[in-house]
Amino acid sequence: MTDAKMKFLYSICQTGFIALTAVAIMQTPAVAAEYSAAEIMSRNDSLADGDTAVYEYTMVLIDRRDRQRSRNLRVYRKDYGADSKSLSQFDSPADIRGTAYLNFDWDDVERDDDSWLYLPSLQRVKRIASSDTSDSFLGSDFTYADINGLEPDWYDYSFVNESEIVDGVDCWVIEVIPKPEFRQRAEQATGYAKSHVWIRKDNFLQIRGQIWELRGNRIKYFTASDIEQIDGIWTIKRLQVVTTRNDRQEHASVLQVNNVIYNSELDDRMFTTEYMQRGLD
Amino acid sequence: MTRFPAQIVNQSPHHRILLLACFVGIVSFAFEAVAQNDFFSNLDLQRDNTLTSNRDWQLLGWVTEKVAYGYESPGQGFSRQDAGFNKVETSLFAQLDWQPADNLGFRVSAKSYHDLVYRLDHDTPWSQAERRKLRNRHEVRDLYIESQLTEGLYLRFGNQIVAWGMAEYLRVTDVINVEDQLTLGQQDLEDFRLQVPALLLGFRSGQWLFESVLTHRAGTDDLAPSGHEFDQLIELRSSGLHINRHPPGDHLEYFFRASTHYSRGDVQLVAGEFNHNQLTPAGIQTLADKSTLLHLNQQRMQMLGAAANFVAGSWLLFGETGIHFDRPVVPDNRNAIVNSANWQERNQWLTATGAEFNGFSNTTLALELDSLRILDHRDTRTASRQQASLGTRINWSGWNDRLKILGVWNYLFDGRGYVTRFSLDYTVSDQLSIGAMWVDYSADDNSILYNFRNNDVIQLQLRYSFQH
Repeated sequence: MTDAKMKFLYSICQTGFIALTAVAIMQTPAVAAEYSAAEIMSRNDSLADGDTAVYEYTMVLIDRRDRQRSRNLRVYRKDYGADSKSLSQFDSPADIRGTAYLNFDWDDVERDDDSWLYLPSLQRVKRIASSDTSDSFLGSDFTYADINGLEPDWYDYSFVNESEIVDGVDCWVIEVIPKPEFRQRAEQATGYAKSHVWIRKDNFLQIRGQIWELRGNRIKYFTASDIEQIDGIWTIKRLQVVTTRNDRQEHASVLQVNNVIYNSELDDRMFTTEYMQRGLD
Repeated sequence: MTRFPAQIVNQSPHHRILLLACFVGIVSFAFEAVAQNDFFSNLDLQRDNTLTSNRDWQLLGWVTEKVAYGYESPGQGFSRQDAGFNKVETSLFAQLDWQPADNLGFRVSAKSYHDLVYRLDHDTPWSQAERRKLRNRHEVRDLYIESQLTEGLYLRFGNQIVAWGMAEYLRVTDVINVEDQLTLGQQDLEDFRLQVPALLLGFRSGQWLFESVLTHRAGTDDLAPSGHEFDQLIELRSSGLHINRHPPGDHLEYFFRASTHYSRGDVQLVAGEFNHNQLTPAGIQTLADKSTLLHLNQQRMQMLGAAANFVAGSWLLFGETGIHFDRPVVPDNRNAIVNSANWQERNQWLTATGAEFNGFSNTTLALELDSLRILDHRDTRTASRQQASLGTRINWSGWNDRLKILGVWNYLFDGRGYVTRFSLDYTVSDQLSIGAMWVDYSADDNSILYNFRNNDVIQLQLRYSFQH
């Protein structure tokens, strides 16, 4: 996965397709004065996440009447130097089971991702163009921009609060605003005006985010919880985003990690278009 | 989600009284106005949504109920001659996947239908038993075994779909599977292609994937039976012809594809020798009783084709082209189907070019321009040397993917007709969805669609999905 893309700036999903486990090798506790806001975000961006990873997720979509829908999916990710390939396969519900998404994420920021979609109803693999990145991802409150990450150079960073205790952990609160020269591109890519992020001082992990959307007077609230170390890598096992409009909850999504395996052997064959349409794991 | 407003409990006693007073009168306002920070608290999930097991088998399926109303009169010859319900259909689809080993898998799927008002009651020669059989259809869909034999070699054997090519409206290289043409333009996605018995071998070498497919007794497109409002042979039947369908001379079909991808694009090269998936007239015979017998068969053809696509930002551009050798030439109008007892075979050059745009919020726009050129075109009774058709599509999803809207407009090759389809689907829950569809047919009297111009329909649908 490229380090040039900011992890959990707007989410902690970063494999190119819901690799939510924004992760960190345990860091030495930091002192606020030692870092600028930009350096903290850079440290957050460069957190290690393993050379390969296999995730099993459940995504729960919650509407304003508290009606809940869920999707189960598996994501396989493998790094190739600074590039990364990921395969996402849906296990449920029944009407989308077998749907698969293959993505090649290139480190070169000028090179578009290569993406293919397999639809089981047609039993056909189809190359797809990148969607409007501010679109909802699979009906969730995450956007494609949240998941794919953004360019850190597009933003200015400043402290909102140099010490705030969240769930018993000391955090920096940093404001992230597009630089004037990148404002248009950043707003077009995300649909967001600005954000506040909460970064843990002990491991540079982002555990909260508050994002102001450009339209509709909407604010999104990201919360990471159920955090634990797996194979020496800090892993967020529950990520929640609540979309509010005029301070009322409009919709929410919860992404749970049911299982994760780091640094296992993943065959290159898994990241091919023909593998998407085969039933062999 | 019920959330206790955190800021209330942090107020002084005096403020608490005031706030509680407000709380009684404007509960919801108070909750929402002061609860901002509480949006970080964990939401309650209603049930355990996680995967419960990693079984080596999976069963899924759905039960679908469709009610369709044809609001025009199809006319003489059809079993439904007036406006009325033309479908009250219950169908069950089930699919079982079993993977006993890492490199071995099986799939079996089947679909059963029961149509309460199948329109074969009037003016048709069917017996009660035959009508019952037509009303209750049972189809085996997938039935195959697959295996990764070696590092690069893959095999799939059995009833299966092998969908190649990139075009949506014109079958240039996507010719392995037959189609469900029982209700033209009204099929579900999973019914566009029908499975055929085949052996697929795939071999990857570096960036290239080589695939060969051998089919046996693949059959023809699934046509509507006599009297059905999409009976494509109804004109022949109404003219008094008897129809005799002949099996192809060679039941084996061969296909080969080499494909690769490069940055932002894919390339496919395809070749094949196969039987045309449509029946075409091969000769007429006058019988002893003076009646006429029309022989239909599947023309043997060869095909060479290529397809490529390219992504530029939110645009996907694609093209597919190929030559079909000895492809039957469709006569220039409906009467010629009867008059021209032996359709000509000509080499034909088929091309599809198109673009898809994803740049608007939650919307996909697609446009495809297709062309067919008859090489060595000699007979003026046949269709034009150069023909073109157009397909457009718009997809939109909203309300967190609960609502999906699809619009399709397809201008046909003969230039004298088009099909418009508009559908809405709303997901009520993970198991339940409801939908509505409108299909409109328009054709002048020389169009191949002419007989079906009054089959416009409105359909309501309910689907319940299950999975274990």
